[in-house]
Amino acid sequence: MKEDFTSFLPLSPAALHILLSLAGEDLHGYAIMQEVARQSEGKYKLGPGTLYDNLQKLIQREWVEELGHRRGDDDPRRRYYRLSSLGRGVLAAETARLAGVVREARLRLQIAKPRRA
Amino acid sequence: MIRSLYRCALRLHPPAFRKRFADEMDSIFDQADGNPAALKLLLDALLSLSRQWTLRPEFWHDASPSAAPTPVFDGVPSFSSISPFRPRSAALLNGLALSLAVFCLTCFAIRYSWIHVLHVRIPEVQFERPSGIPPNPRTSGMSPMMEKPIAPPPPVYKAPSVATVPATPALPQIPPPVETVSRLRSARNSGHTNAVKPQSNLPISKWSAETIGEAEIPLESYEGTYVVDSPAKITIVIATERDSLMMSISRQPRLGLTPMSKTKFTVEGLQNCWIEFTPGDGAASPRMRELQLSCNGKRYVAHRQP
Repeated sequence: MKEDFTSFLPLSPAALHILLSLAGEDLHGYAIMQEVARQSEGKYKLGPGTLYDNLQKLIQREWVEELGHRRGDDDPRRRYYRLSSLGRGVLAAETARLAGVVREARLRLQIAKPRRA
Repeated sequence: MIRSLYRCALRLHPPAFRKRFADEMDSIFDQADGNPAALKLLLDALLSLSRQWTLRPEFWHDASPSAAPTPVFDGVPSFSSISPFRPRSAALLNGLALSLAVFCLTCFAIRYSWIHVLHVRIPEVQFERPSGIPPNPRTSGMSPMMEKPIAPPPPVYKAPSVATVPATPALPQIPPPVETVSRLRSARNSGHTNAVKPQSNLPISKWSAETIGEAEIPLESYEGTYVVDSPAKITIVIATERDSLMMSISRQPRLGLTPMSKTKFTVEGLQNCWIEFTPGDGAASPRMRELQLSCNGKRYVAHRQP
């Protein structure tokens, strides 16, 4: 049975970027900040306060799991975070919603689809 | 400096947030390059602080039970405190709001109270009746509760033509008692008009003037025409009529003068009005050189015309 995530949508930009950064691999807080800056090409930067405020909410909603410390890390104060299956589903639903928004925007703005080379 | 401020801001976060993320935020601060980045992180921490305390009440309390300190039995005696009580943050905020409300109500009540205090009626200052004026025989027999507040008309001063008054400079001037007036009157009737000396135990010695001393003051010394120069020219005539001093202002009907002291007289028929004479320099026969008419708080100085 397919779960309905539309009630959680739309996501805030911070939540979307955090989920998206954790979609590839498990990261600690500082790595999430760097990944968000990389994904947005430096146009969107998360501060620690905003990052952990959103992480707190995502953990409470069980979209993100806290893994704790990892052996072999340089800084023992770092904790790692993982995207849960629930969070992955929410991210997929948000991505589909955004794709629809982009498609509609292209139609309205008469922007041609990029041709394949 | 910035680092300590940053750590201080982290410590002020709600306990649950602080336990969970403070170490990581501190490690992120270590990654900052230079003061501008550190200042940005400090600003971010301050914003986070306000956000956590204002918008995230659901995260104020730590959901996970904190690890209770376990006593270590390694031979060293350990001490444990009995359930240290710490009020919840929500309770503290509620208490703060309640305290502010009580404070505001108290301030309002104080202000309201002050309005009523300001409306307290202050009794008017009234002049005391001179003790030399005998009480009204119509009201003297009444009880104080039955006595009417209307002041009785002061009697006319019928002083002898010449009176000798011993001087006591150190004593203040007080109005002459009734006995003094009657004694002087009896002395006049018996023909001793020139050497009436009151007994030493009588209060008459108290109403001597410092500037006059023991000089005899005939009533003629008060007589004369006194002129007020300002604010308007007013002529005051002091005359003797049947051994009494009379005063007329600008040809108006004469008014009797009642003695309060040797130089001070009240004006019959006028409330809160009195006249004070200033004797001249002549010691043997002092003649008044000016008078001050005080009436209802206003004061007029009149100089005697030659």
